[in-house]
Amino acid sequence: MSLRDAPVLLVEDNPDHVVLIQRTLKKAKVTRPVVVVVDGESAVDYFMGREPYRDRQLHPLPVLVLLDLKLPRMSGLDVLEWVHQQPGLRRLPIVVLTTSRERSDIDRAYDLGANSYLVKPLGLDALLEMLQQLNTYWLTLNQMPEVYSPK
Amino acid sequence: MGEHTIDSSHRPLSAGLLVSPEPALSSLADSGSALIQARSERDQLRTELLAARAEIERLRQAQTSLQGIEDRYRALFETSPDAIAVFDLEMRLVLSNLAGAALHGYSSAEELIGKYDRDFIAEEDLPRLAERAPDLLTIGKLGPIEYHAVRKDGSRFLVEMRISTVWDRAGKPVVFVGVARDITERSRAETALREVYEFNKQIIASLGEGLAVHDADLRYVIWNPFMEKLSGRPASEVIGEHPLKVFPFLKEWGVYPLLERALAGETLTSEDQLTPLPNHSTPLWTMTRAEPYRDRTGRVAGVISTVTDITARKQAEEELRQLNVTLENRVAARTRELQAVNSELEAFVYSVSHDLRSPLLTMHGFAQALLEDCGEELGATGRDYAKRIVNAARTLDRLLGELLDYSRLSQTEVEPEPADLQSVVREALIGLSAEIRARNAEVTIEGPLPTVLGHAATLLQVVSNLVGNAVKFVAPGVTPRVRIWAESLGASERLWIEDNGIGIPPEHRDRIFRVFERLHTADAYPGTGVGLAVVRKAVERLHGVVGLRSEPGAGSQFWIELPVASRRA
Repeated sequence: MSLRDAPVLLVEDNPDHVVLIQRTLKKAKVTRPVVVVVDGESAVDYFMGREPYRDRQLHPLPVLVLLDLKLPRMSGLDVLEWVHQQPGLRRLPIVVLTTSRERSDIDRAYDLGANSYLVKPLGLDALLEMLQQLNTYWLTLNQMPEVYSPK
Repeated sequence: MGEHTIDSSHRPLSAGLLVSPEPALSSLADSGSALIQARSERDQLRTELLAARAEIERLRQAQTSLQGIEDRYRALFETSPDAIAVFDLEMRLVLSNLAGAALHGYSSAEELIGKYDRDFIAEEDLPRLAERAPDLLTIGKLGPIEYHAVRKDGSRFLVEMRISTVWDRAGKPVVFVGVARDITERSRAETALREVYEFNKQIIASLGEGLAVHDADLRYVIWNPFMEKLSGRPASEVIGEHPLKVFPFLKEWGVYPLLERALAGETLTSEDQLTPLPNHSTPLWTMTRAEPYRDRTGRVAGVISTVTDITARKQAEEELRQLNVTLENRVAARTRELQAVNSELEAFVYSVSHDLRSPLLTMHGFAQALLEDCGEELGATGRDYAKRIVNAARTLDRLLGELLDYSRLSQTEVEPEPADLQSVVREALIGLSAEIRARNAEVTIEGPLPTVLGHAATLLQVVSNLVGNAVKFVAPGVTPRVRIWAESLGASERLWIEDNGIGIPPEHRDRIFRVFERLHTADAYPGTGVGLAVVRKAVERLHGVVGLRSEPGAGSQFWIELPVASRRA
């Protein structure tokens, strides 16, 4: 898999939201594959290339991460913190996509290096509009850095 | 002294002088031959005559001298301010001076002569005096003795009397001499003094605090019963003693220096002292006050010190302090509990609004997906149901959002800072532009709007809610017209938001600012019932006031009042 095929990693524990986001990403004409992991630990495993994501051909590092904050055990903020301690990974664009509008969550996320913070809107139309913008900006206009797995 | 005046011991000598010349004259006629003898006898007689003359002269001189003494004593007798009288052995008055007469209300001394002593003495005092009378014949004097005397007119007065007996050479009593003086005034003064003394004594004894008076050497002069009780030392052991001899510890306690300074003229009050007195099981709290005692000339003649037992007051203070500590602890504990409950509630609201929002998005999202993807299969009824789900989810979402706003307002501390109402209102209108457009509303700002002391983000929420309401609560078919302006009240500014809406009946004015209070059905005017509660809470957090003027059917005028932003240096 080349960089062109590098996926969008969706870290989301709510399967309903996964379905709705995947459906809307498709509608927003996001052409990259969307890989879903359901908790923070799986996300770290994916970044590290641990089982079941050892094969980098099958599981290449993502170009963008959509990160929910409310995750079981290792939260989204924990993931952010961990990523930014990894030299080859900390430049990876991470967009928080959550239901929380809490000021403390927003500030903490940016402190830990989030590149953007989006609140899941009510309604598919609003979500579609949001993801279209996201596609345009982060996946089309934005210049991607080179990232590599921590050793 | 009267004895000499009355003594007649010279009289026999004078009588002898008168009879002795007679035999010498007859012998001269009998004998002629004995002329020489007669001559010699004549010479002798002459000699004797000369001697007699000299003797007479001497006696005359003596008598003159005696007369002089008598005169002097008489003068003394008459000028004495005291009454002086001479009584015979029957106690009958034989002589009195004028003072004696005057004392008893008589005009002359002669009037008194022949009266008995008892004529001048009140009847009730007679037995007492009679009892003492034998002293006159044994020791020769009586008194001073007091009795009530009686004047000529029967009135009475108090007399002090001294009586002496005059003896003759053989030791027999001759007369009695009495000296009397009116002591009514003196007695009255003495009684008054005694009363003052008693009065003072009782005051000192009855004092509920310790009183000690020291002389110029600081020796105790007065030691009242309270002091006896306090110290366990009776006055008899203390009076006349030096403080350090009786209570050596006073120096260490700092009380003795207080006395010394008072003696130097200062008036001082000690600190509250814990005094471990040997006669008390637990130490007492005392307070000592010392001030100089001054004599009539203003010179410090001693020290007056008072000791107050303040143990009860100290105990009360201590109890109060303990109570305060307990109360503070209880308040602190209660505050901690409340804070715990509060943060629990905060966490609850946070998690409720987020956890509820997540499935809400799902409900809403899939209902919409159902409409989009399977609209055809659902049919008209099915699509209607799905739309209702979508609408309900939207309402719930707004409610959760506002609840979050409300709880956030209650919890976060907002520090008032200058906020420009002009830009706050403009931003609010931008946020509401979709709503305004949809309702075809006219919103006018009668600017310029001032800068107030507030918080821009919080005020944005307030203005948005008020303008949103103004646009929303309008009778069907009426074009919403909203007017916004500011009114200066000196130290504060009022922002008015006027609408042409349905108005609010007076009886609902208070209710509308409470959470979940709604005046209308969701059908007529959709809303959550939280908007105005957020407004009031927010304005109160900014130390402002919110109010309204409204007529049913004639629109409402809501206002918020906030302090003017003061220019900071």
